Amino acid sequence: MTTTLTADIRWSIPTSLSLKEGTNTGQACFTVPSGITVLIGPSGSGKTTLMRMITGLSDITAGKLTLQGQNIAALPAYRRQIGYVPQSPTLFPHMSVRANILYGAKKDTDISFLVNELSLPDLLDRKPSSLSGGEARRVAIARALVSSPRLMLYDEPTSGLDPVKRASTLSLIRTVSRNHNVPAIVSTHLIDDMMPIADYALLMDNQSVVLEGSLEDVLDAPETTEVLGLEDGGSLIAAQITGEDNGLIEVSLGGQPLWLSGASRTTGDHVHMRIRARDVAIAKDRPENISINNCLAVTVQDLKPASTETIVTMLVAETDTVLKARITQKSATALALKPGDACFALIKAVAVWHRED
Amino acid sequence: MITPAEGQALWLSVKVALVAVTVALPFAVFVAYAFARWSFPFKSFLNVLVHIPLVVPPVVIGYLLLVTTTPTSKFGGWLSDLGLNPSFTWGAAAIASGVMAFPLMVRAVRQAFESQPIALTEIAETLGASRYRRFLTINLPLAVPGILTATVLGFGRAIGEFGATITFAANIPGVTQTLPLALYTAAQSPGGEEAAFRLTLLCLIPAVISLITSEWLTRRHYFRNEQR
Repeated sequence: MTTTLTADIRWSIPTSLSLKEGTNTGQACFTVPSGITVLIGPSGSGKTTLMRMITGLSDITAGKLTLQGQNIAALPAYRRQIGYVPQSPTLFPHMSVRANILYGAKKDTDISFLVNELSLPDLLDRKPSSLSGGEARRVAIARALVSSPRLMLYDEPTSGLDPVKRASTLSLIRTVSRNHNVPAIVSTHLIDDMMPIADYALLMDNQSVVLEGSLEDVLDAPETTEVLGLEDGGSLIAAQITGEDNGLIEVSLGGQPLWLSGASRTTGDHVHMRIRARDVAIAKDRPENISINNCLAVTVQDLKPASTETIVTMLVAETDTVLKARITQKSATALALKPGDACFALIKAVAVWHRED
Repeated sequence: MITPAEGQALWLSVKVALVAVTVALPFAVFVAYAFARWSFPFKSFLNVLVHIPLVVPPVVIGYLLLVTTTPTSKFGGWLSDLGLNPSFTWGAAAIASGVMAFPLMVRAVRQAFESQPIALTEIAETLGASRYRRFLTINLPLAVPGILTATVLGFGRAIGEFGATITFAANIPGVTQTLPLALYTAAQSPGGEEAAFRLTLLCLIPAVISLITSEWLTRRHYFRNEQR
């Protein structure tokens, strides 16, 4: 993968109106490849600030920003060619949707393909005030793409959307990034959202980029679990579909079947699954007559106490697939778990994403 | 019936107010934008300066204009060399009206600029728009209602201007005698009650026309922008 953006920057933002009262200093040092990069971090961790530094709307105090080999740190925002879709769509209220889309376009730009791609044909002559939130967001995306950006930045594109619209917005981002061959950075505090679209990940905490790497590596890292809180701890597993039955699909992990609900998948497809630690229970013996479909033989690798709970790291038998479970310390004591124990992981729910690559 | 002198006063008033507002408006828009969006040294001092005509007696403004432009003063001498001597001409009435209307116009436009979300121009900037283009395509069109308000307020203020005008331009019938000055003269003369009444009614004409025009323009703007 080619390098899109390298950053080694520091910034400082006043936190109060009175001068010199307090400043938030932040720093980031990372390299983003082509494709889609997700910027993960809790609310207030500085994701929007970092995006504004990259667009040039806020100033950095020191450092270097290199976009496709060009140092852009000294360029004003309007000469950086970076498309920015902020959290609220911010359409120009006095212009039609068409005029909004064409705002950053060169003369005689043909927008028909993009307009169809984003299902906007019927909206072109409307005024922004008559659009729904999702429509406005699609217009904002089209408007940024038409300005021929070298990089797209999406700030929390799924905030305020229901789960169905979230999924469609994300697949749209992936589609347009591919079709127009524009790398993108997408920020979110909802980690589950980004899984189906991201290739690379940056983890942000307390005004700094603390970790970068492939999505899998970043999600597996203990820092991520810690920064995002236990709720989001879990494991990411890649697998291939081996069968279907009654609307469920089957994947195989080291010969053990795992049944997932996932319509419109076909045998042979590659999927990514995220199994959250809180959705995994542990049994010493294989339970019989139980509603949970999925029961995998595992070996306990490690136990880590976390406040009143214990995070148990396990290896699925015959594989190097890691699974995590979050159980109460009481249960951990009752089961007398220790590394090397063979037991069974009961999985209540699995989130599945389909990726073409 | 209206006498020719009264008709002349009406026409002079409208001419003076139109010229005053037309010349002052671009400056008012520029100053309003600068105050709303830029930070620069002596900003609050300049803000006070712009607002002075609003708070000091108009006669003071008229007097200051008179002494700065009189040919014996430095600036007035320079103007005189250029062949300009504004005092006691209808141009002086226009300058006096423009100066008096200026702060009102700046306030109305400034409020329009300040109410615009900065995010709009930021987005325009990421779309490649220079500062100049952002102003012309985003700030200015969105400030149109405020600019209309400023125009009407300014016109009304200019039509009604009295103190600065009588000091700077004097009360010369047919030359600088605008409606308020003519009304003042009529009210001072014995037996002038009837003329004063007619002039009072005449004063209403431009005021009502400007209010109706502004209402119509605002409505048109509103319907064009919001109703779809």
